[in-house]
Order: sequence, then C-alpha cells, then structure tokens
Amino acid sequence: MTIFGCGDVNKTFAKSSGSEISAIYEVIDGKLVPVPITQWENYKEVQNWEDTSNDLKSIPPNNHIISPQSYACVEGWEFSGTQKDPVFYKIVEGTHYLNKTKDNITVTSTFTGSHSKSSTASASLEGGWGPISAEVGYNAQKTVKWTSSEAVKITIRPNYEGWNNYGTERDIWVGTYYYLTSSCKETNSSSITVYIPKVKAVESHTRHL
Amino acid sequence: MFRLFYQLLYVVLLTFSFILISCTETTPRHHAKYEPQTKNIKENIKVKPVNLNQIIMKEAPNEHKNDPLDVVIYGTEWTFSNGEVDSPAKKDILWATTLGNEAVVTVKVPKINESRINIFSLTLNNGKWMIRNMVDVPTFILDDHIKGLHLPFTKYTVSESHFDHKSSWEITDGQKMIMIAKYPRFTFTPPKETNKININDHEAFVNTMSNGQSLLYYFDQEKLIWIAGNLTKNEIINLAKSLPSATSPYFPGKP
Repeated sequence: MTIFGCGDVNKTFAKSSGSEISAIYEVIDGKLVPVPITQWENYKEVQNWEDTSNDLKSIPPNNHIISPQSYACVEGWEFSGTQKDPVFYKIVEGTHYLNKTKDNITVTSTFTGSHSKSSTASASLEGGWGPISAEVGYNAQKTVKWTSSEAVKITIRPNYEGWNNYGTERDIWVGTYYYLTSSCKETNSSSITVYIPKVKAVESHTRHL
Repeated sequence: MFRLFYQLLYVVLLTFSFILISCTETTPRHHAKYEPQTKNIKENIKVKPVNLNQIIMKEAPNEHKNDPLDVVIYGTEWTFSNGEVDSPAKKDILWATTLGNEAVVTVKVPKINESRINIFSLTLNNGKWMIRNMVDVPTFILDDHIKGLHLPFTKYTVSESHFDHKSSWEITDGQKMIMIAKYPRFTFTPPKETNKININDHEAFVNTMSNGQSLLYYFDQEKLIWIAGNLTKNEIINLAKSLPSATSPYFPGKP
C-alpha cells in the first residue's frame, strides 16, 4: 500500500546542511500523520551517532551493594534507566528530484530496496532485552522497516531540489544494566544507552539549486 | 684449423639447440601459469548494481513543447549511480495518452537493475505542455491488492498520487502499466475512433490502438474517470465495470 502525504512548501526549517525541512510525518497505523515542524526542532537528526557518541562506553562491573543483606531478591538481570528526548534517525535517503522548470512540480518520492533499523544498545546485553522492556513498559526489541512500496509526495518549487529522508523516531533510555543476586547485590553492572525505534518518520527536504 | 672450425660449429649448434628447447618449454609454462589466474579474476569480478540517483525535470526547448511526449523526452534527465546521464528515448515509453488539455506519459527507466517506472502528468497551458506531477514507482515488490478491481494480472504494485485536485492510481506488474484517474470534470474534443459503450449506467468511450494500448473514459457526476494502459479492449472494459462510484471513499476499490 502506498503511503501518501502532502508537504507544506511555505513553512520551512533551515538545516545546517543547507537544505530545509518542508514537511515531517510520523507513520501511524500505516498512515502518514503530519508533525508540526516546530515540534521537530526538539529532535536532533543524528546519523550513526551510536558510533560517535562519548556516552556509549560501558563501565566495568562495580559489584555495588544496593540493599541491606537482610533482604532477599529475585535473582536476575535488571535495567534501571531514564528516558531522554527522542531523535530522528535517517534509515534511507530517497531519490533526489531537481525541478529546473518554471512551475511547481509534485513528485511522489520513493526509494530502492528494503531498509530497516533495529533496537540497539551500547553494550552487550547478557540478560537479553527483557529487563529493558520491563523498565520502558513495552517490547524494547523492535525493528522499523521501510520498503519500496511506501512513498511520500513532495512539492518542489522551481529551481529547487527535493527528496525525502525515511527514518524512525527513536526513544533513548540511559541507565544501568546489572545482575541482581538473591542477596540483593548489584553485580556486573554497566552504564548503557539504548535506542528503540518507535515509529516510522519522514523528513521532506528541499534545497535551492 | 678444421678441427677448430668443427669445435666452433659444435658450440654454436649446441647453443642454438638449447635456445630452441628453452623456447618450446617456456611457452606452455606461461599458459599453465596464467590461465587459472585469469579465470579467477573473471570469477571475482562482481558487477555493481546501477541505481537511479537523481531525476532532473527541466524546460523542454520551445519547439518541443507542443507534444507531451516530447516534453518528457526533452525535459527529463536521469542520473545513475555509475555516473551515466540519460534521457528517455521513444523505446522507453510504455504509453502516452491525451484528453483535451490533460496528458499522461509513462516511461520505463532504462539501464538500472531494478524495474522502475516514471509516470508524468502534464497540462496544456497557453499552447505549451508542462509537467505538473511525476510518480517514481519501483516495481520489484508486487504485493498490493485493491479489493474488487478486475485487473489482467494478479501480482502488482499500486502508487497513489494527488495533485491539483486530481487523483490517480498507477498499477503495474513491472511490465504493463495501468492508470486509473479521477479528475474534475472538464470539456474536450473526444479522441478519434472512439466507440461509445455503457459502463455501469454511464455513457463511456473506449479507444483501442494497434499497439495494445487502450483508453476509456466516462463522466460520473462531477468527475471524469479516465483509464489508460497496456490493456486489450475487453480488459479495459472489465476493469471499468469493476470500479465503484466516483464518490465512493474506497475508490478505485470496494469496501
């Protein structure tokens, strides 16, 4: 099923790359829902930032005792974290369309192949994703997939270039992943950052030629 | 003296024989040494897939603005991932159709590994055709389905497009392309050799050409329903009969 959306070419938001975001959509139940551009200013487009961020390194286990010895705990892996502002992650960039005519042209933009992004964590999760799901309140091990049949309309003004970035809005959680012993000792603890793709999102870009 | 001559002759003949033997032995060694390598190199060469990076739509020269086909041919430029640049040729055109001041031209993008079709919608303005809308459809995933639609193929992809209060659905199996369009009603001179038929109590007009392309249109209240594509006369009539009312929110499908 083709997804269709309509961009507002008058409201634009300048990006440092020289392009402007002319429309933003979140994909809810297979339909594009426009998102106000001002709301999107809260988001940061970061490409592959898992590889560059400084806060992703896990710390060595500290065997920190968090409870008095008199208590008994259910043994197992745990995650305790806090949620950060969501970010847009670009999964794939659509074909670029250049309008060198004298009038607006609408283009239903699309891209090649099938592209996906799964949940990632900055350290290996020995106890799996279950402890993280328990903390965030939903299944944290998710994959967002874009396929070629999903496309978005973009209006391109004369002498402008237009394209869509297809990606995902990701939840970010920062916290401690640890093993809780039956005597309530927190062992093998690591400070981790977790990225969970929640909804598909599209950024329509235009750039003056 | 003779003895010295024979000794020299013996040395010369011996040296010449050695050179000959060396040459005859060397040649097959080269074959034995290099042939397998060449084969391995051939096996290791992988052809990098060519993708479509960019589509440029530009003003066609004035002398080519009188024909929608020419506007697409002279006004479109594809840039491929291998650096090649190309424009549509007549052989790349799947079909083109015109109703009054509206036209549609469909083109199969050449040179790329995937199957991809571009559909251009054009409008005649002050005697010149101009591109108003373009749909860029990759066609290698054929998993769409429109309920109730009688199509000549079972696996297809659908692309929906809305522009200037017009709507169109492009349906393709990668080889054939069908357009179902819903435009605001407008007046025009009917194309030549059009036959009048009845479609769901509407007076419809059908035109089949020798190249396997058909056109059918009818008015449904304030809308013009316009079907075109690589269809036989029977196929386009069956498709038109399966359409719901133009006012249906499910158009062109059924609930």
